[in-house]
Amino acid sequence: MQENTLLRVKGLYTSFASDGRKDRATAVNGVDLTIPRRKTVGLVGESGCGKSVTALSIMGLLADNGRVDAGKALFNGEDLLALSDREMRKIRGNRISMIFQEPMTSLNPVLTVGRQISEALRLHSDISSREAKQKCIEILDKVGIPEPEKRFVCYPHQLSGGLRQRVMIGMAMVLKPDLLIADEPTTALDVSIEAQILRLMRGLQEEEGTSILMITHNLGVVAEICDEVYVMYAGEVVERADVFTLFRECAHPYTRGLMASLPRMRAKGEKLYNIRGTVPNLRAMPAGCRFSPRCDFACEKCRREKPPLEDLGNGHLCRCFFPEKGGDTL
Amino acid sequence: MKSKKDVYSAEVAQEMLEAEAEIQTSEGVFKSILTMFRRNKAALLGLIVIVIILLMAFFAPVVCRWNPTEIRLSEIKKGPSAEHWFGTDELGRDVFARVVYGSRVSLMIGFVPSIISLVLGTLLGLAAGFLGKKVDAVIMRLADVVLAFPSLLLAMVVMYTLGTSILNLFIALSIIDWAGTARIVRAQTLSLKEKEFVEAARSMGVSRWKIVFRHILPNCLPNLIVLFTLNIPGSIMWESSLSFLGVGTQPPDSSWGLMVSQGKEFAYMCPWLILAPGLAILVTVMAFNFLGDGLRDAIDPYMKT
Repeated sequence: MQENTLLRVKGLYTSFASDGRKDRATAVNGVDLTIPRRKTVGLVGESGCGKSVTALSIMGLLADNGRVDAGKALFNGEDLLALSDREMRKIRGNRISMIFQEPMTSLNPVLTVGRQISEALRLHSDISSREAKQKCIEILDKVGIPEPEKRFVCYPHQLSGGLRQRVMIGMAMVLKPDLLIADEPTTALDVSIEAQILRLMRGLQEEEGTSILMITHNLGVVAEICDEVYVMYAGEVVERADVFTLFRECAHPYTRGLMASLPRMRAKGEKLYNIRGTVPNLRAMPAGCRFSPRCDFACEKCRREKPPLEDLGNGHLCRCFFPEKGGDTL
Repeated sequence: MKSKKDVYSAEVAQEMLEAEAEIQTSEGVFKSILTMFRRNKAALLGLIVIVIILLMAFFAPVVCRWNPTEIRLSEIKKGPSAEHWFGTDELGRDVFARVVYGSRVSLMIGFVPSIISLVLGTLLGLAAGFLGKKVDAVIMRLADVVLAFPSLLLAMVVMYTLGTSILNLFIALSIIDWAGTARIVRAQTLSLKEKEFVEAARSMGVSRWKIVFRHILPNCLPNLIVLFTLNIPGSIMWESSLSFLGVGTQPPDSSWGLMVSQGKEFAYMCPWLILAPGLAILVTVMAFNFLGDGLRDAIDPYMKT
């Protein structure tokens, strides 16, 4: 088991300061996360639930007002959160790399695609610019960019969104990292390009044996690419299961709400389910279960006590007093 | 399992078409500047005039028939003629030759302080924008002081304190100009450092200094070019004003501003003495302004897309 684990995040707490306030807003509240080797782990949740902040905490890329208050991120047994900035720089891009949501803005508009990829290469390995160029062209070819020699000298604005996201993936994969963190990599793309990008990521994963942490709010993407899924709500993990279990028998009312709000092919003309209410304010979390104010099944106990993350068997974890394993979808 | 080639081939073909079409329609920075010259005749004219002026300054001995410092008392205050295009001054010196040779000083004073203030302002602006907090506060308050002070007065104070020489003129004009550059670079840095590509570079393990110089600075360059072209006429004007007031260029060196200043005594009788250098200032300053405006128009929409 231990050898199969690439990254183990334990009890991660991250908070942010904001101007003129003394109390810090806790965006990530005790998250545990395990990423096995060669697997894709999904991190799902609505906007502001702390999924991106979790990733940025692991990478040490929090904004200036953010801070990891507690927790460990053991990457190959080494705690990333205890590393100095210098040591962390050697890991970023090299052992762990990241791709971002907006392929339009994630590439520097005034540098050629080739220069940006070779910058990553030459930063972490001692190779000549000619070798770097060779490697860049190889990786551009690998991520399915036609005529890589021509594209090497292109500026980002000369490429389409799909091609740019391929360049980003190429940049992230050029050093064959152990872990690729993908923060909503397909949100800004249309669905046909999305399918291509996901297929590309899966192909590269099979080839290189990279683990992927896929951050998304799109359950379709989860179903497409993930092996395991963590569902986050208001800074906490509320459910964890392998992807089949999750889609077949999710137990937490929040996850079930998410599933029920997916449009379905067969149900025509029916109104889509939506989870009532909005995400609670980070500074004014409800006591007890954080989902209780929006939950259809909440009782007195839910509002008073905080449910623990309990194992329902086979590693299916759920933070609910009344998990309905395999219960009806809403 | 399907081979990789199969999986990609259809989409590759489709994207190839798409990308091919895009490459033909898109423009690089330099291409867009070329297009600008084709459309904006004023900028093209400015460029041509600047090139002519630079060539004349460089090849002054070839261009001029007369020695600009040769005093010939038989030719005092002659009006423009075929012999002396812009006439002669109160010592019988050829005004055309003096204007051409004066352009060397005026252009040098246009360029050098602009370059110094560009470098200084850029470095300070980058530091203020990127480091923020105390560094930002200190640099920006300094800039505020410079900007709040009447520039001409500031330059005169510097010249009086340090003494009049070309070097001190460079220092005085650089002190006036750096603040504007620093503010613009700082503002750009502030917005650029929040861009996703900076975060992406950080996620690749790029260090802070490399991010500043390799990712943020190149994005400021187009604006800096424009700023530079607009600072040059500014410096020429400042030098003219200072020379006119007697704290700029000192004889035997000669600049356009100094010529106007010296010619003002005879302005009624010999208007060519102030018209010739005055026109030279006007034409040069306008040429740089046209060029700078054109560059700004060409680069700004490019940066926005």
